[in-house]
Amino acid sequence: MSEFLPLVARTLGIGAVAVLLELPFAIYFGHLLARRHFRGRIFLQTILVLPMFLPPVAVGLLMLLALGPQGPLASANWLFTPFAAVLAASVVSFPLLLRHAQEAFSSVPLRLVQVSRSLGVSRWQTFLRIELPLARRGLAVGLLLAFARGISEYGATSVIAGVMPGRTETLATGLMRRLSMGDDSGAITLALVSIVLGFVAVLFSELLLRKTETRR
Amino acid sequence: MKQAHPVWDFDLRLQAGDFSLHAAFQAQARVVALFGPSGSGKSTLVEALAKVRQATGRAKLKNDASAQKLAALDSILHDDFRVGWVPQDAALFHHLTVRENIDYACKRPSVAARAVEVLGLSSLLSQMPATLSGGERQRVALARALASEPDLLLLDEPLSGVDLPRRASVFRFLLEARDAFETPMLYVSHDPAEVLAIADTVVLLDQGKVVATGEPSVLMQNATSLRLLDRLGFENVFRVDFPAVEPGHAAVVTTPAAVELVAPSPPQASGGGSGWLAVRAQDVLLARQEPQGLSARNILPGIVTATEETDSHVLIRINAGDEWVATLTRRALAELGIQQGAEVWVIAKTHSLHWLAE
Repeated sequence: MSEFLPLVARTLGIGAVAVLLELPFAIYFGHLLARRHFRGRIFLQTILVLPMFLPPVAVGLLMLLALGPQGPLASANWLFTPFAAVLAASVVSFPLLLRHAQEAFSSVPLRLVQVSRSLGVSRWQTFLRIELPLARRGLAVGLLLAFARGISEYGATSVIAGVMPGRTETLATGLMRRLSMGDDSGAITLALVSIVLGFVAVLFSELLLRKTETRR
Repeated sequence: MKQAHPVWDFDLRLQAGDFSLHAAFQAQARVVALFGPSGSGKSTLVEALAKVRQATGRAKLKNDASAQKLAALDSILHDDFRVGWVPQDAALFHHLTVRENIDYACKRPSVAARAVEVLGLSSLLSQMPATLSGGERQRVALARALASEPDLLLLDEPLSGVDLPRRASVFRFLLEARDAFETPMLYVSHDPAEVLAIADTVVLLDQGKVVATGEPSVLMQNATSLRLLDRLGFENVFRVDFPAVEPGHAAVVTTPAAVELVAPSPPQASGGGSGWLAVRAQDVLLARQEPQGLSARNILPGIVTATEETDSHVLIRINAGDEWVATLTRRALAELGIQQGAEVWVIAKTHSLHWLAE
């Protein structure tokens, strides 16, 4: 079991960095979609949520085109690095976090924002002192679910990060590699670890959600 | 030296869906009361002044303080004109303590401390808003507004969410705040007694238009206005017959649907006759079972004929022989399971029935 610890630690690290990376974008777009009504809002929302409904391999392919030698981000040299696995997990799990962020900001009563503004407090201060604290539980639920999705990501990760043991291999890609090599017991162990991690993350998100609903 | 009352100069227009508001009036007063029935545009006007709604036209408030600022700053609609808005639901920041709410937009701690003292909030400072009663919430919202040192206070039916028995004490705090701070106030109400007690000038609003402006005591006695007040202030008005009773004694009166009500002594008690009896919807209680051992004298069975949502509460229409109107919060409506067709008991204390002048 101890042989799998570095793999588990790397996967958790990739999942954690991925959600931290996507959090500012989810907050910005979640707030924008919750509070503003503008032309093209539905179109923007569709584009942002789309990665959740595409085959992850297709998402990986699009990212490969962007990060590959001919792509606009080629100079960053991210392809087949652990950061590529972070990017893959981020892109695939972003819609989940975005949806929860949007819902969390929508649930903050507009009246509180209006009262804060009427008291002469700036938009930014109102966001920091009223909207963000009141949306924090919803954001935390989104973070946990996005984290669970990120650490189970396989398709896009295998395309742009590859499956390099000790470097870019994650629980999901490692599981698949062991399965294809006939290492059934290793594959089953990794599957069980994935189930436990996913269960814990989703359980915590459900507990938080219940607490939020009780408070309302 | 006491400051001269500020001058209010309004000619404001606003369109909200199908509803048009045109508020045009002039007054020299420190406290102006906006008075009118639900849906007359009172809250809409307040929201426009709080810059939550877009309005066009003029809304000027000139006083000694604004004269010292730039000329543009006597316009309430100007971004730099500071309003202290106390909405009907208080809208406290529920993740902050009472202290943090009051300090939220406070510039000088001494002003916040004074507001806390005047409004009697010292013992509540560490509490969260969820633990407060309706009256306490309103006092905190008022303290938060006062601590921000606004150029104008907007009080939107501050007693509407307060239990009947506590209204008088909360209102006393409002009067004390009025006297302790120099801030001009726009006070929204549909209670004639509140208007008489707090305002220098009353503006009667009906269907989005100003129908009269004047001193409360004069306007409330004015024969033309009384007809308006009947409609504006009271949702339940009955033409009743009453027998001869001794002055000072309660009378059993008969409504057009032959329902008997126990009312206070009629104005011309001695001879008997007929008159207008009015009850505010907010003074009508509803119960799902027949109440037992209650001090209220008027307990009538009825059927809910309609429920109408307003911005802040729900109007319930009940057929109890005559048509009655009661108001409930959405929460109370849900908890009581009241909907069209529901059997309810209408409860009104004798002293919540008021005789209207002929």
